[in-house]
Formats: sequence, C-alpha cells, structure tokens
Amino acid sequence: MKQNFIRIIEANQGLIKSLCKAYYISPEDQKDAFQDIILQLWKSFETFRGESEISTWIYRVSLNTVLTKVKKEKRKIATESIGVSELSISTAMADGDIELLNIVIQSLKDLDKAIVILYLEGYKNKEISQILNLTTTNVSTRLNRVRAELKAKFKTQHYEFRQP
Amino acid sequence: MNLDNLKPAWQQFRLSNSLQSLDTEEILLIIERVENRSIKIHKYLINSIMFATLIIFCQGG
Repeated sequence: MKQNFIRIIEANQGLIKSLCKAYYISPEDQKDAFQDIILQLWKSFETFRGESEISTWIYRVSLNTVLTKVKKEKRKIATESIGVSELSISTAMADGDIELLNIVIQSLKDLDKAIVILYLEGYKNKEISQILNLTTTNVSTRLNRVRAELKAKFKTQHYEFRQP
Repeated sequence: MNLDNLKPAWQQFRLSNSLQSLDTEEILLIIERVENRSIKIHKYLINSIMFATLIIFCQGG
C-alpha cells in the first residue's frame, strides 16, 4: 500500500508542488505545505475508492488542505502584499508566460486562486464546485469577477501572450 | 486578459515542477509519523479503558 501511494505521489508531484508554489513563496513554507498535503493524502488514501480520477482526488485533498492551512495561519504570503502598482512593474519585467502566470496567481485571493488553478487545469465549473464544496453559481460568479479584475489590472500592459 | 491563454503556462509550470526528483524517504517519514501517532492514540485508549475498568470493578471496602 505504501509503495502504491509513493508511486501515485511520484506521478503527481508536479501537481502538488505547483499548488505549494502557488500559495507560498519561501521554500521552507512550500516544503511545510508539501508535507501537510502528503500527510492528508495518506490519511485519506484508504478511503479513496477510485470513483474519480486520481488527479481530481489529489486536487480535492491538496487544495482543501492548503486553504485550511492558509486560513489557520492568517499569513497570506502574496495576496495582499502585491498591489496593483507593483503588479504592473512585475508584469513589465515578466520574461515569459510562466512568470506572468505566477504574477496573476499571486494576485488572487486564496479561494479564487484555487478556482483559477482548477479552471486552468481544464475542470468545468460544476467539477470545480464539487472539488471545493462550493455552489456552481458561486464558482461562475467568482470566475467572472476574476476575469474582470485581471482585465482591469492588465489593461495598461502591452504584454502579448505567446501562442502555444 | 483572457484566462484561457494561461492554460499552456500552467501545464508548463506543472511539468517543470514534476521534473525535480522526489525524496521518497521524506514521504516514508511522513507516513510513519501518522502511523506512530495512531498507534500511540490506540495504546492510550486501551490503557484508559483498562484503568477505568480497574477503578470501577476493583473498588474494595
């Protein structure tokens, strides 16, 4: 069972580490969050019945763990610390799409961040609502608000996305 | 800004984070920590029940 669990973590470590980096800036905090997520995943591994995709289960447990942790700590790393003006400077300095992605993610509130990450992963609003225990309306409203906020924040920028 | 344009960047970001090697020893340590904790709780519960039983049934007079 342990070996099976480690294999799953190995296959999905990119996902977990990306979430840690999305919510925490310092490597120590990221490591701490990573350990907490592994702990929760292991605790709920026995109850995982394979009804959903393994990645969906990992997203559900990981995001809920991180959101609870961030709420408990009351020390959000980037959400409130990056203002619009700083955001503009950072965007101007952005060297690539990943840098811009980081800036966008760090500018979001905790729950909006989780919703956007799941959206970027390709989940539909209904699936996002199930993963985060929200209503579909709440997810749609928040996504629309995020879109509007980002549009307003980045409208002065001349950054062009590179096409994939 | 169109949020959909960030989708490839997220995939790239996720991929770059999956390339680092995983410390399996660290994961095993975390798992063992959980197991040790549950063993301790189990032992504590058994001891408490035994103690309570002794107190209730062994009250001599």
